[in-house]
Amino acid sequence: MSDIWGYPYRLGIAIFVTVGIFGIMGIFLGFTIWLENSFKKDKLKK
Amino acid sequence: MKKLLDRIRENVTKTQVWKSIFRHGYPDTDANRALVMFSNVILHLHPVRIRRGALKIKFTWCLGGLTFFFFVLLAITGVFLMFYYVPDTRRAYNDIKDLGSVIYFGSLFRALHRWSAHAMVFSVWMHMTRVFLTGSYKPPREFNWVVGVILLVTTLVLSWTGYLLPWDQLALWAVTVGSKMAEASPLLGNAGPFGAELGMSVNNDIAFVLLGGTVVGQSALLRFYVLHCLGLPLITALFIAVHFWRIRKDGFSGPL
Amino acid sequence: MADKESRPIAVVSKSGNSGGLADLIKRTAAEKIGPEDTVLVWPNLVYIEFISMLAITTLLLALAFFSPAPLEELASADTTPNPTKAPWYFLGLQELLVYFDPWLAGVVLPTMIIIGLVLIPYIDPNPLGKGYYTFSERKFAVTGFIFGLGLWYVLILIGVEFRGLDWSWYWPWDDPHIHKPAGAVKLVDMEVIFQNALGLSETPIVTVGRYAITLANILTWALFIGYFVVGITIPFLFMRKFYNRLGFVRYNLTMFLLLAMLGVPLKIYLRLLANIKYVLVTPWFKI
Repeated sequence: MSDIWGYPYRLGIAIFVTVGIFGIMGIFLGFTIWLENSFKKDKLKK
Repeated sequence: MKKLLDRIRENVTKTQVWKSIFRHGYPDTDANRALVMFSNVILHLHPVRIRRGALKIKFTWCLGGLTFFFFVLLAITGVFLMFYYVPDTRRAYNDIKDLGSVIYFGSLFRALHRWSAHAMVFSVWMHMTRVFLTGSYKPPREFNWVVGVILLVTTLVLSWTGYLLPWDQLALWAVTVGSKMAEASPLLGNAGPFGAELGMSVNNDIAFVLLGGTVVGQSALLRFYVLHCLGLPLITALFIAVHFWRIRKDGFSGPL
Repeated sequence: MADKESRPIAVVSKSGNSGGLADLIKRTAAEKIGPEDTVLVWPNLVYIEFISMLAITTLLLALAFFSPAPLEELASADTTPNPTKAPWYFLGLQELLVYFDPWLAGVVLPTMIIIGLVLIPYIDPNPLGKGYYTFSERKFAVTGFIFGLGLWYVLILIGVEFRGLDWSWYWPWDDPHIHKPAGAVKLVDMEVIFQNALGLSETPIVTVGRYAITLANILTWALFIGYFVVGITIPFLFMRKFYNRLGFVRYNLTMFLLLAMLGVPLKIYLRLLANIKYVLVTPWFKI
């Protein structure tokens, strides 16, 4: 990685951006789905 | 012991002084619990009754309420800070240093102010996310969402104008970054697309209006101070009032 | 659709007449309002609020005690700190400056974000999901919103953690005090790529004032406008149900905002992976 502007370096940044976006999406989506199921369970329990 | 306290309470709540202030007994009967919502100006933000499902913390996570609480905390700590701060570039920095060293509780209030500010920006984003994920913006509540976005913008601008006030390197250059972006506005900025064609120069474009000058200096500091301490809190308070009013009128969208 | 629990405030003005108010109190206290069962706000809601206020105040006091507000050196117009960073909530926009010109990154895109947020309730025709968490009933809306959120937070994260001296990229294991060598890669514009790939001439077809329009330049315009046109037309042709549900205005607004939002990471990829600096160049603005 001597040439820090070299392709592998910038590819690393691009991968970081992609993984970051989808990672955060995954966290929020997971949270939403968990809450959806949690409230459905509450409704069934009532 | 309990009977003694109960007797004291009974007697106090029957005095003329108490009744003139509160107009209701202590809310331990259903009648008083309803009355207190009507006659207390702070509590009258609430309805008298609420659906049991709407109490669930995992629905709202208290985010809206926390945002408002942070706003109030910022106002209170802000007033304290205002006693010791003068928006003059020759002494602003030293005032902040005094708050950190000489003034009793100065460091605490400044730290509280700063942490509440970051917390408020964070919780306003989270509150917006929560409202979106529960679809609480759908008809008839569309306009309240718009008011909420306005509040998001005022929160960010409040935070940004406050950032300049300590007049340290971070403040000066963070605001310079922002004003350089303003200079690059299309049509309105002297360095943006079509700005030069419309006669925008450093002396009359939108950045000049924002800063009261061509650089971030004394005019900018005073402008940001007035906006931060007076103008924007008033606007924010107005929109908060509209926001709460709308929630009461449209009803809480929570679960059954 | 006023909810049953919002009592008209006008009743309070009649409180001089104890008969009217007493009746109302008796009703609210004794009856169940509406089909759901309700509880009194005092104490049930009020104490939740009180406890959360206490808890958060404790947290803030602890934070204030252990991490006092920072103060750097006195502001000086002569020395520019390196790097100069905006507050964290604006770092997303500052990170965008790497990939977009200031008028886009600092003005147009934030304005579009605000306008897009404001429009959300008006372009969302889906009646499901009102008042409860659901992903399964509103996949498009939730995915779109969360994508925007993810993009925003990633940009902030990069601005906070991974940008150091001269706004170069610093991985956590890099030494933050050592300058990174300046970019050795040569960035090209899309226009030049078209010229070289298709062997087009550099002489302009027509010149309007300062603007020398070459064929390659026209092609970049076609590409830029075509991105939106094709993007808007494709779901119209192949997902007609979606279009019918939204209607003409909502559909166009939704697709335009969606394409603009997707265009941001697209341009980031173009610069990082293909060395493309500008997709569209005119003397007045560059995208």
